[in-house]
Amino acid sequence: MKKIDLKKATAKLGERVAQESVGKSIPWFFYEPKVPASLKEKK
Amino acid sequence: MEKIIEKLANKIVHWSCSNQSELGSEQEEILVYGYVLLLENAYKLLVLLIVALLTHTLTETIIIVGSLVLLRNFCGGVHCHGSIGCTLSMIGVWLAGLFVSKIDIPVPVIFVMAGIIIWTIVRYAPQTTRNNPIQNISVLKRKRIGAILVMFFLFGAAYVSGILWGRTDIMNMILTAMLIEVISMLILVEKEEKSDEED
Repeated sequence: MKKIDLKKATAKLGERVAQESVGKSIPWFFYEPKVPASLKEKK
Repeated sequence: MEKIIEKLANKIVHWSCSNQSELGSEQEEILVYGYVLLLENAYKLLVLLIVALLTHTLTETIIIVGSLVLLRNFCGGVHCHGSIGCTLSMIGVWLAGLFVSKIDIPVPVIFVMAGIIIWTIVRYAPQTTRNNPIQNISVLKRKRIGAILVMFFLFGAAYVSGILWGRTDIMNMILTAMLIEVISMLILVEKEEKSDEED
């Protein structure tokens, strides 16, 4: 069984969520955190 | 509350990247943002779950919040300035849904509600904010089609529960959640039009 690097997986999860949210998804609830400028520029 | 969540997100990011020699500030910002999103949603779901369990209204909470979230995911709408405001808004929605489940809504009023919901979604969905606009045409199309499909699905669920099963309380909760969501869309439309005029 492949050993999972928890730290790497955690970092990847955060990055994936951030990238998938900008310009693609709408928050479920009534609060939307400010999108970092660096992410906006990339899109 | 945002500061606490941001601090926690920072801690998670620094822990997850402790193996890396250098984490650029841009990359750090992106990772923190991702975790803020995850933690914000988790915390709100937890608050609603706790409130639901304490008040023995788990089923009702799932119906009200589920209907709202399902529709909001495709339709968008106005947001509060802070996380606490958002949590209070969600609790307000939950309370409104519970209150409406206990009353009898006259049939003409149900038709008016349905009319407002249909018109708003067909006319305006999806509505996104300047903070995170969706500009890709294919994503916008998917959101719009999704909004209309979810609308029909929720109407179907409301019809089945209210008319076929006689559970008008469930029907009322679904319709109320949908109405609150389209009102939030209309508020955002108004807000964006005012901002455009000022620009």
